[in-house]
Amino acid sequence: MTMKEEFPILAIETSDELCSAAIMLSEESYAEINFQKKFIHSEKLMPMISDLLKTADLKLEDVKALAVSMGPGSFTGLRIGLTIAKGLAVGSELPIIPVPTFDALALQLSSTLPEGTKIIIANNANINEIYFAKYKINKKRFEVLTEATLVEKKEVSSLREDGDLIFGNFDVEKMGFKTSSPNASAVAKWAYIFGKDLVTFDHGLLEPNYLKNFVVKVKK
Amino acid sequence: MKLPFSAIVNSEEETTRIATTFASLLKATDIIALTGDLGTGKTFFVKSVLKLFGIEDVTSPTFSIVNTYSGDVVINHFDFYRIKKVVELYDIGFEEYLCNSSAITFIEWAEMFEEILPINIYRINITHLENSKREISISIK
Repeated sequence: MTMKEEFPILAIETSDELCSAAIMLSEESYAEINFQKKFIHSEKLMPMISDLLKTADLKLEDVKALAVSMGPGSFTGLRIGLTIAKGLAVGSELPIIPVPTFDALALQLSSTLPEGTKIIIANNANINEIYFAKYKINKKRFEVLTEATLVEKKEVSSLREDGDLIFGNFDVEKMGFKTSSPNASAVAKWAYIFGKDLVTFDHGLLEPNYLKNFVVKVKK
Repeated sequence: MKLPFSAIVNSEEETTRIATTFASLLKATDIIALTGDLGTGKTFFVKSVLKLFGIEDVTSPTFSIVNTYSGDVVINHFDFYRIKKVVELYDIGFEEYLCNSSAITFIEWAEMFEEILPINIYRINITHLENSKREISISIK
């Protein structure tokens, strides 16, 4: 692919309460619509994409690839995002670039945080476990220290070192907007920088990543 | 109602009375695991509790696996009876139902997948004694 053929990239982010859609037009330009609210993704994501294309004076057929946030994250959220992406991809014969959600968030944070900062992303997975990953900001990009994994809630404090910045929804405080998932523009940017080998037309094989091994525990 | 609680009831009216008292303990995020043989009245007990939350049209979730009702709180009413493997529960997002901070979750036949249940949840066991006589035990475990 030459540079020109890579844009526009349409990106979808639904791994948490932030419902976000973006269209990346070049390395310097993007449009984005965000809606931070519980339980609205299935209703709002399609109109958001439609408005976004209208605003950017584009048609879906003009899009070169769909970048989709694959998780880890909300069970229902990820299914909505991937289902809509697959529908659009099949209908307009577009390739999909699956994007690891936490890496996209790390990329987004790396553009604003000082060099060398260590960041933890910790999101609730279920009652007992959280999704956990650790990164280090390195030359305006990120270095993976701990790949996204499932850990017990009580382990988090022991995994945290002095100076680590914690992002995510795992603490129980309700106020404020949590930075627990990336904006769709960061999903698009990750796809543009790292996603070239992941481009696929085999949409049927894509599944949300819940990091579950589904191992059945032995009854005591 | 002091827990653990246990009583013998002789009629639906007496069951309803216990359900009513139990309902007053409940708040969002609570989980209630119900155990007891077929026909002991697990669904009847849940129905009686849900009346207190203004929900009238409660049906058995045996076929649907889960019924969800939205009122002041969201109610998830599960029945594990037809589930064959625990993976099926992960596959329908069971854990996300439990994570909903505005929901109360009832689970019939909970003993079939003990491994997926959190600790410190309400346990209700109903035992059929004779005719219309039943023993209802409620505890937290």
